Amino acid sequence: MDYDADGDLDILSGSYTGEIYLFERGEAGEYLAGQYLMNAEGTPLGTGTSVTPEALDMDADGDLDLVIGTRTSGVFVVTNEGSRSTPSWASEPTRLLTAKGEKIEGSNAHHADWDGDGLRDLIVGSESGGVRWHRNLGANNAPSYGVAATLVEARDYEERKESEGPSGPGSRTKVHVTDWNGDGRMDLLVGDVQWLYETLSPLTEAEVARKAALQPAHDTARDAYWAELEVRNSYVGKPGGIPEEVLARCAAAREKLDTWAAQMHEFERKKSHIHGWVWLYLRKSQAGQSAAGQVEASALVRRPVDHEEFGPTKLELFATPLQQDASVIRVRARLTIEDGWHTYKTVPAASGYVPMQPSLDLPAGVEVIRGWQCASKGFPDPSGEAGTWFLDQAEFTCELRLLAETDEEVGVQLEFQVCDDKLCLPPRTLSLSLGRVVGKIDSPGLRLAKVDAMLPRFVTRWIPSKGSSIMPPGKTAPAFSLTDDQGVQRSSSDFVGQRYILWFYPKASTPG
Amino acid sequence: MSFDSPKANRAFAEKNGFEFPLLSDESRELALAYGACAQDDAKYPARLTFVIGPDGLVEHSIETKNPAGQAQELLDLLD
Repeated sequence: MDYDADGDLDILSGSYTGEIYLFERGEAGEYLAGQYLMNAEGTPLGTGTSVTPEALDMDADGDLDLVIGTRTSGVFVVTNEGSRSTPSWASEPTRLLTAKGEKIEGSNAHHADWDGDGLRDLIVGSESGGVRWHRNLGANNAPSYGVAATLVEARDYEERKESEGPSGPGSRTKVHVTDWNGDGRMDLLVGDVQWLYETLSPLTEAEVARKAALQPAHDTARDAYWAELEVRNSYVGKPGGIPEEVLARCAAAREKLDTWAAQMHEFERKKSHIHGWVWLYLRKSQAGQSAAGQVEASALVRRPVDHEEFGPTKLELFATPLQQDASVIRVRARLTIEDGWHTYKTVPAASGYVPMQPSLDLPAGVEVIRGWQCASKGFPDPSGEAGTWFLDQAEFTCELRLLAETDEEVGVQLEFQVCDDKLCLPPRTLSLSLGRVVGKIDSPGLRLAKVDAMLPRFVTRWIPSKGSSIMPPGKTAPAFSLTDDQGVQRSSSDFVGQRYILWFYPKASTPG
Repeated sequence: MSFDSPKANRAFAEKNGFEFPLLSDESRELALAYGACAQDDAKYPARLTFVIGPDGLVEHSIETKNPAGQAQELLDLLD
């Protein structure tokens, strides 16, 4: 990333101990020696251990802030109180929370538009493995995070041999979202750490003898160290603390033990090797098909139902049936504003400016169940007048219930005025349509005519690139011979000439 | 059909009074053959239902989305 907006690419790196390093580019394109990022008080930024930084404008003020994942302390934002070219880091990191106020965990934190709704979501790795994401329920300039949903399951620890290789991602995952195969769908890259074991050839008789000869001396040194440790610990919390000579005796005993332990280690037959792999999860290309037992994520790739442009602004209308009740439609009106322009969230009294105001034009058969709400942040008018501005984008949402078919279209209007620092365009009202309410074929449900046109261009499941396929109709059923719950052997040959059902269920004594 | 042991399946069957046998596919062999899991170390099989005809051919291959309503849907299908 370009840390100081000088046109070359610098490197920001996290570290195990918690500091964040900057490697800047020199004149000749070389990297200069790493330096700690310091906060306004001159101390290195600190949020936890095993930190990973991401530079991102989190508060729409035009500079880059830092989003920092940590091993187990949570995810933090360090706000840039300086500028894009001369960052200055806030003394206090801000903990990221979900909209419900729960702590967000992540061994790394990465922002990307995961569900294709135009908003940056938060995708996190984990100390214990797996990948989760928090949907952005707010706006890009004022994110609000939903509860964590799993994208890649954390796997149970499994001791594996070097020769067996890994069976899937390990722990301490770090995740990145990218369109790896250029198919227009976002894929997942997951980095991990894991240990594999190697068993060395058995000790020779001579080695066994040498080990046995060393063992008593090793055990004596170990017991001596433990005894010194006990003495040392008996001073903990007492006035005066631990005497120097006790500390010295303890250290000397430890040194002696380490010498013996190093010799004994030579005889250890199990050797561990640390590895780090990168796993690729490709987003599956076709809806409707699914692979078994794998990661599942509902990811709507939404397109606007209707849109219109006016000067430096673009209004888009999105509509999504709620999963729990398809007759409830969540409507989102998003105005995107070009750089240098603003619209009004609130206006100073008697100013004559027009604040942004959405409204609905509903035919009989549609009712409002939740009125317009605004998720976008308002910025104070820099000229000191009492109003607040929308910059970049302004979003309003509401919820409608479909009650009956309609002859007329469901209309959404947005009244607003767009200004830059010199002039204001005349107030404008844009009118968009969600279409008529029509009946569903083959079912008593209702739907918006224009909403089906955009649904469902979506992916239902995610699979590791290895994949699998479900046995389709028409193929010969695979033969089996398995033990049932009464201990009886059951075979496919028992059912020749009969129709039978095979039902795969995830786990005994769980619902469904 | 699951990856549970016959013993775990027995407990499940007794608790719910199932009148059909629950098979243990601990080796994942059959689940792999039917595409109900992708690897032989998969933790769980996917919720899939197959109807196999008298001729030994797969008649229906169903991905269960609604476990509670599946039994009725299946009966309707087989009528």
